[in-house]
Amino acid sequence: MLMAPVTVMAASADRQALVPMAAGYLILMSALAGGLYRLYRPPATQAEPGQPPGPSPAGSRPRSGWAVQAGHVIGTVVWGYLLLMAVVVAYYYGVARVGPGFLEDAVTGNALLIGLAAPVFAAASWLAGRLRRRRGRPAGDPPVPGDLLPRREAGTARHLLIGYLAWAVLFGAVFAWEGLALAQVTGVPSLSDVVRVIMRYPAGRWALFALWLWAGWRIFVRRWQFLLRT
Amino acid sequence: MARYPLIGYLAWAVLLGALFAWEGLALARVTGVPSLGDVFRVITRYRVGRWALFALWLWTGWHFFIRGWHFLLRA
Repeated sequence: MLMAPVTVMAASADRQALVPMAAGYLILMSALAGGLYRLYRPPATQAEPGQPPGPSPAGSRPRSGWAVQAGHVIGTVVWGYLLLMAVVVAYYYGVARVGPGFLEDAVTGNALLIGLAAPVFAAASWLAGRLRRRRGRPAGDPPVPGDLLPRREAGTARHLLIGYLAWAVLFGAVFAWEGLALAQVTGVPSLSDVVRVIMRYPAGRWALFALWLWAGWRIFVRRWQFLLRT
Repeated sequence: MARYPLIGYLAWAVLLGALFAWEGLALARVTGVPSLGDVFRVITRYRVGRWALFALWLWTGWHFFIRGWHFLLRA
């Protein structure tokens, strides 16, 4: 029902997709570098052990309550959506006019996805909270919105920097292989081609969609107990 | 009919397998290996990182599941 991927893309459009792909990789790696710099900078500037972390890097004050949590999630959704739309518009007008209806498709399609994901995320959070309570753990987590704030300052730093760099290299390899595919190197399928093979069957489509939903919930919403707070 | 040689798809399998293997090491608590969740936590420490990651996640969903599907625009 949901899936009808574009089956034919012009070679030139594929090549032009290299630009936003490389930009996306650079933005993510810049964010990772910034986070790692903050994590590994000299200890004099970090919070003392046992003390709550200071203000978030963005400058927000530590507050509690579901309204703050809702604000963080909504802020991430709204600004993330607007950022994607800005990239799409810049791509369309600055790089490649890929076809009629592209912009409308981007605006409505992504809004539709958010609308589809929101109730699933709410249900998953509610279910996770119930399971946690059944196991005897408190339903609510720290008074900050879960994964949306740096709540594991010391825990995150226990890993070696080389471990994070290994992730960057692995993702770099994935982006590089995708880049070769978009550059039309003979015999190199793109990730879209691989996904298309998987989505030939309904079970594959639904499994991939479920994986995508789970990833979003896991990254952006997990431990967000807004619906369970009294 | 296959558009690409099998080796091209196998390369993707190896790359994705490497990602899963590294995540497996992290979940097995091998010393010094951060999980993907740790990496995302570092990226989302900044608002821009959160927004970029959310935009990337949204784009993947749109690109793979929705793009080309115009039901909201159909007359």
